[in-house]
Amino acid sequence: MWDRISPILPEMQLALWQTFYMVAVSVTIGVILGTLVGTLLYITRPGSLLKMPATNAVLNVFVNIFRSIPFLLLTIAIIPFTRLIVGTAIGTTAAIVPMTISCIPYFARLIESTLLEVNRGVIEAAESMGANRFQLVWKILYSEARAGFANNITILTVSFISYSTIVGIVGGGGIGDFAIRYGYNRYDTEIMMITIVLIIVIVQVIQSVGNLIVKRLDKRI
Amino acid sequence: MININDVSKKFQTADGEFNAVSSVSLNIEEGDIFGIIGFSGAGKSTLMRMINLLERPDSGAITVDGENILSLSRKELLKKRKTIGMIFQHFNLLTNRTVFDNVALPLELAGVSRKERKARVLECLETVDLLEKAKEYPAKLSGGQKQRVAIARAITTQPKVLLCDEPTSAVDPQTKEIILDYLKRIREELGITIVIVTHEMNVVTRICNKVAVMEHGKVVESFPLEEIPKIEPKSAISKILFNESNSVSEEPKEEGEFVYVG
Ligand SMILES: Nc1ncnc2c1ncn2[C@@H]1O[C@H](COP(=O)(O)OP(=O)(O)OP(=O)(O)O)[C@@H](O)[C@H]1O
Ligand SMILES: [Mg+2]
Repeated sequence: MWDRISPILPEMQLALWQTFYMVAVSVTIGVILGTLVGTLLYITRPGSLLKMPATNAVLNVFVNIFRSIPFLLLTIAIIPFTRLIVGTAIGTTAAIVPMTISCIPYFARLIESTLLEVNRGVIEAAESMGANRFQLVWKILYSEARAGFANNITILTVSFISYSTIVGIVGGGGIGDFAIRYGYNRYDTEIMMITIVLIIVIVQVIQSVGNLIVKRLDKRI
Repeated sequence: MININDVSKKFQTADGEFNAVSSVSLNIEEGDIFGIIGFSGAGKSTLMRMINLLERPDSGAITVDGENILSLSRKELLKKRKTIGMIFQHFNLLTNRTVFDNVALPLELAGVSRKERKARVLECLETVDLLEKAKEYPAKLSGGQKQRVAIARAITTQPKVLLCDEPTSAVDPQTKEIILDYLKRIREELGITIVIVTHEMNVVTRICNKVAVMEHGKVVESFPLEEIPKIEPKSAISKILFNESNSVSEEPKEEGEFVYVG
């Protein structure tokens, strides 16, 4: 098997690096902006910290729209926007744009549902202490939801490793594109299988590390 | 200390409006341990939550320590709340903070420096005899210990008033006595005014000096505790509750006595 892999090793390494680059950048931006949007979704809900039903409705519509466009179509549909942002619509950096745009609403929903699980009584206790809204979010909600956040980041990362296999269509490269080129275009099933196993291993590692962090952060039991 | 004047609160429900509290007036004096008793749904919690404006009344006036809380700006209200501690039936401790950090929270929110915080937190944990649990997380504590942490947390900012919403309803009878003893002690040591909502007459007879009986959103009777033996209860609910209280005072402090009403 090794003699089959060694000639294509440099190419495989490059593909792995591309995947890492695309996922790392889109997930990082997605986590930051998604946390912001998710928190806004939560605090503008009726009965929550801010009375802003209109903002909440608008945010919900936007999130739903971007959540419902299939990723492949989104990648193609926003090509003009991608060109505007990074100067080109082709290549690994260009592929980060649709991935990030997909990341934000996805993570926002994860964060919103995690925040909804925070015990109302704890928020009320902090309100009775005279906590202001910023403190309620920063010191209470985020503290209580931190294990959920770590879990959400794990879910997001795993999902977007999967999404990254699609952006070969705009020349994004990556490990998925590599597998398609060998397995599908060259009928080299063996290389494709090796690549799939590699992806499985990577996902397993990410999931295990994620679980470990969640366990560390969670003091509920 | 707390003056509630003709206060009402309605809730919108699926089948119309619901009067949770209607035209309630109460005067709670400095140093009182004031009991509010009644069956489930009587409006006790709603009434108590209006004292720190967790719930805003539709009409009426509330003054706490001489200040009309309904006229406060949001910023002033947040400051005012630091002078009104609160504890809850289900403790409401932060699960991801240690006991120490839970007790430190009100000080942290008030912007007290780390050093001052530490001294004060240790002092408060000492008051509830939980110094040795400072580094534990709440999940590792018993219900009674959690409530003691909540008491410590509620008194860190040296409030003048302590609101207790069914503080002993989620613990066993022995633990209940312990918690009530701590409340009594902090009342004596700190001169704090305590309001305690409960559905158990033995809680009232054990620590309160005054009691108000609530039913269907109204205060039906209200008097000092020493008058209970000679008073002729007017309402049906007072009759039920006071009969229980008599049996409690006839055979004082029977271990494990647990009157559950509602
Ligand atoms: N936010 C709310 N919206 C609608 N109805 C409410 C709300 N809060 C309380 N109520 C209703 O108001 C009534 C009084 O509630 P409250 O919690 O004050 O009663 P309680 O005397 O504390 O009862 P319990 O002993 O069960 O805690 C109940 O019928 C309750 O269903
Ligand atoms: Mg209640």
